[in-house]
Amino acid sequence: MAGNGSASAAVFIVLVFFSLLVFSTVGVVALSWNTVSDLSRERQTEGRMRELLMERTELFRKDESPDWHGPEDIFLTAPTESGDERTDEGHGDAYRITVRDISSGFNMNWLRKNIVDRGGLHRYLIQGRNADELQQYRIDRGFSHNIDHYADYFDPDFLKKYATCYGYWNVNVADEFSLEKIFDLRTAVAGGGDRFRNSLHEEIQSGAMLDAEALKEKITRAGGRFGDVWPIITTEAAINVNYAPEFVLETLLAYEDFGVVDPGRTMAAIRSMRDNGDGISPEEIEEIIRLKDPDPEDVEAGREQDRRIFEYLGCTTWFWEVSVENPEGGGLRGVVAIIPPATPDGEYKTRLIEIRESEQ
Amino acid sequence: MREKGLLTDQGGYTFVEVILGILLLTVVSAVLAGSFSAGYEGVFAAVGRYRENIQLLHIDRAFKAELLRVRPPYFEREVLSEEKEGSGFPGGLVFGWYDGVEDSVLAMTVVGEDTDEGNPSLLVAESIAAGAPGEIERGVSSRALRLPEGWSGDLRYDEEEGLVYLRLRGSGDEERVISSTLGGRPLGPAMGDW
Repeated sequence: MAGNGSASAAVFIVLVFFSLLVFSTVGVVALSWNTVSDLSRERQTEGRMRELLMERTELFRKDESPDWHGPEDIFLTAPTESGDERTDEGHGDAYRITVRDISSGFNMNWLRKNIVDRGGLHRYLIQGRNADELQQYRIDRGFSHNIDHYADYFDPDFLKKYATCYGYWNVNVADEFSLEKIFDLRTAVAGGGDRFRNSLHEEIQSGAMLDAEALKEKITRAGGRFGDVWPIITTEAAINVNYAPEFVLETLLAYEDFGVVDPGRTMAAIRSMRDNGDGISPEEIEEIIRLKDPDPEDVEAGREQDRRIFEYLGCTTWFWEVSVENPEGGGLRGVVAIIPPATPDGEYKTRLIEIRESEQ
Repeated sequence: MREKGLLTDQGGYTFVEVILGILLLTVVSAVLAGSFSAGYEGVFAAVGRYRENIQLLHIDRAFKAELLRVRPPYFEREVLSEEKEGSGFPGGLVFGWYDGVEDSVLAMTVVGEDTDEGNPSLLVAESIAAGAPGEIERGVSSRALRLPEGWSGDLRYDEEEGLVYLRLRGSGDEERVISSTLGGRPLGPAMGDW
């Protein structure tokens, strides 16, 4: 009997051992499988979001009117859902895509002091700050693509709604010291920025607007290569009248020196065209925004009519944000830059210049 | 009743039966041992493969996530991407503008040999505003993502494409190439058509 008892105990121990072995193996395999599945799914999701971002970016290249961005543009009218069906497990990829203009605002990297002081924006400065300090801050600390860089100068709500750090420096309206600094940054030519800034004084005095050819000459004379500076310094209108916040348009239209006829009615006309969904074309903008007749004294003194409003307001958006959101959490955000041609017969180009995971 | 003889034993089994029994048991044992050994090796090979894939997936994820944090602004002339002598990252890549901050640096390199002491690792180091980009030893935080056993790798940045490549080679002919964009890409020279 004792022998039978020992055999039963041995069999029991063996069974327990094998059971533990089988269960632990199954456990380890299941855990590994879950880890691999999670990682694979995460990678698939990210891959799909990147794919959608690239697809939407590609639509910018197919845009048939790259100098006019209005509501009918293909990259805006394309479906905003990825269209992929959800699976039974609920892990589908019906991602949500949004496209928005991020450059049609007051550009903090080059905004002139007089727009702040005389355009009414001083009301949004942080108490104790002034436009001179802002100018000096840019000289000392440089520029940024992050609006928080200017959080010590302007009200956060103003920065969020009406300001931007994305945009090209329009040589005709950008702050001259910011032009000097960006010139130096792009060319690294000793004293080049200073020469470039000084060369602009004549135009600033006479009110003449530089075109791309004249800009090229100024850059070359200052010792820089046009290719190093363009398109960061351009002669293109900075803000798209079709997408800029109304406050931005109202401020610029009402700026006295720009000489816009009846800013209130002009704004109403722009609002009406935007609301109709037609958008304003490059041909229409100068019909809608009428300028006062030049002052005879200025004409006599050889001063040209102030046309700076058209250096601010145009019909092209230069920087777009494309977001792909996963309803189950996470997303990707890309920034697409539209690059203007440097010659009249040149082509517009597009480039994805930023990509990052969305902050949730 | 069994007959008695040379080929019989007294207990009822013939000598041939005993020999056959032993042979049978030997064959069965050998088959079982072989199966067990093959199964054992197979399970370990599968587990090894799992680990390898998990390691590679982790490296893929970390590699892309880190590079997306390199965000130079569009108006910069170029993004720093060079091997710095004395930086401790020979053959590696060093990028400025980590997390969008000019003085912050991300450095990556594949270090180590495939020896008994350990496998090569993808070394990722971040230096948050710790002096000049080349001086990444100061204030550096780093982590090593160990490559699977028998794997090695190298890094390359293609400025034209704006892509960083991590090429990983296994012990056989196996090769995997992971590529990733940076989080930002300056509009450098040669973007226009002048």
